[in-house]
Amino acid sequence: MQKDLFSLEGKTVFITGGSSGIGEASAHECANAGARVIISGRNRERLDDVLASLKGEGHSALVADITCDADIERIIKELPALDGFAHCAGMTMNALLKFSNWQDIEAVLDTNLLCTIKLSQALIKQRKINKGGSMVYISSVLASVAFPGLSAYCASKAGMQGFVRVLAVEMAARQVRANTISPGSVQTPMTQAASEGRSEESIKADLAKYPLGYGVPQDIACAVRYFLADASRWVTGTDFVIDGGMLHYR
Amino acid sequence: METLIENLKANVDALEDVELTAQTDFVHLPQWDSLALLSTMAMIASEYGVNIESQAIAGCKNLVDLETLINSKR
Ligand SMILES: NC(=O)c1ccc[n+]([C@@H]2O[C@H](COP(=O)([O-])OP(=O)(O)OC[C@H]3O[C@@H](n4cnc5c(N)ncnc54)[C@H](OP(=O)(O)O)[C@@H]3O)[C@@H](O)[C@H]2O)c1
Repeated sequence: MQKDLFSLEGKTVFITGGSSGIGEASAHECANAGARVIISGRNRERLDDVLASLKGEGHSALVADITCDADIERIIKELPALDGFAHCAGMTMNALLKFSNWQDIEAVLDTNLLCTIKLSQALIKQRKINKGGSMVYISSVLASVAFPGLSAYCASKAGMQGFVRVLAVEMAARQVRANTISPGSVQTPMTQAASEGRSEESIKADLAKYPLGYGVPQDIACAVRYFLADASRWVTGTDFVIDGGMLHYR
Repeated sequence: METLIENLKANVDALEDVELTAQTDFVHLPQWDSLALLSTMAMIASEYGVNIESQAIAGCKNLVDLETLINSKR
């Protein structure tokens, strides 16, 4: 029988931000595809809820704040050897640059970019990613779209893409792939919180930019599965836009 | 020599699974490439505290030469 190249059977994958939104959907998608899944986030209860609902056996959760060095050090020790790493943890902050305070700007860049680099460096230094493994990072279509109020966020996601392109080349000797996924607006707690306080009109105008409407977490999770599966064996250093047609629509 | 081999295997991904001995002509291994060279230079700088130029590494016939080169700079 021909091997199912989209199966994750026998693979161990680590998913940050696995307690909500895109990370949660990715955890389900990977578990459904046969992977042993390790999810992480800061909130134990939400992690446990997701863990309890995952299909299959052997999954686990690690409570960790990726902005805390001691937490990164601890999870690196606790993690087994990995075949896949999906980095879905992230945050946003919406304020025009003129009105943004420095602490908020730093928090976004720290969580989305610097800690992405720190965690990746720790994983590769300890050779936690098996040969032939795959690392996939959730960037954003906003890495290449100017959205007022999201300057720090857009910079963090564009920075992530630059980082991952180099990571892909540096990891090629171990046959480890690294790619980014750039979603458009996906209905998650993050986007829900961001739309609070916005007028009906501006929400409608934003939705009108999406020929296929807004996405759901599963739309992104399917791509996470693809990038972690052997089907993407020859794909590295690339960015995959999944945005219902928004980026090129005028 | 043992420590040098350990350091190379731990830090230079391309050499991780290669059997290395004092006599290995490492710069002519099929696995050796520009990234392996960069990793080797960075490893020597961090583990031995010396900077070695890429041409000097390219001129090494084997790991004995590399070790001699490192020791000559320390
Ligand atoms: N939703 C969208 O439209 C969209 C579009 C493009 C890109 N993205 C990106 O996709 C990723 C996931 O977004 P989402 O919409 O799924 O958001 P979400 O529902 O708010 O989930 C964010 C996840 O990240 C975790 N997290 C946040 N800060 C953390 C920290 N400091 N340490 C550890 N974990 C942390 C959260 O868990 P805890 O709070 O428990 O820590 C949660 O599991 C983000 O990087 C986001 O920028 C989203």
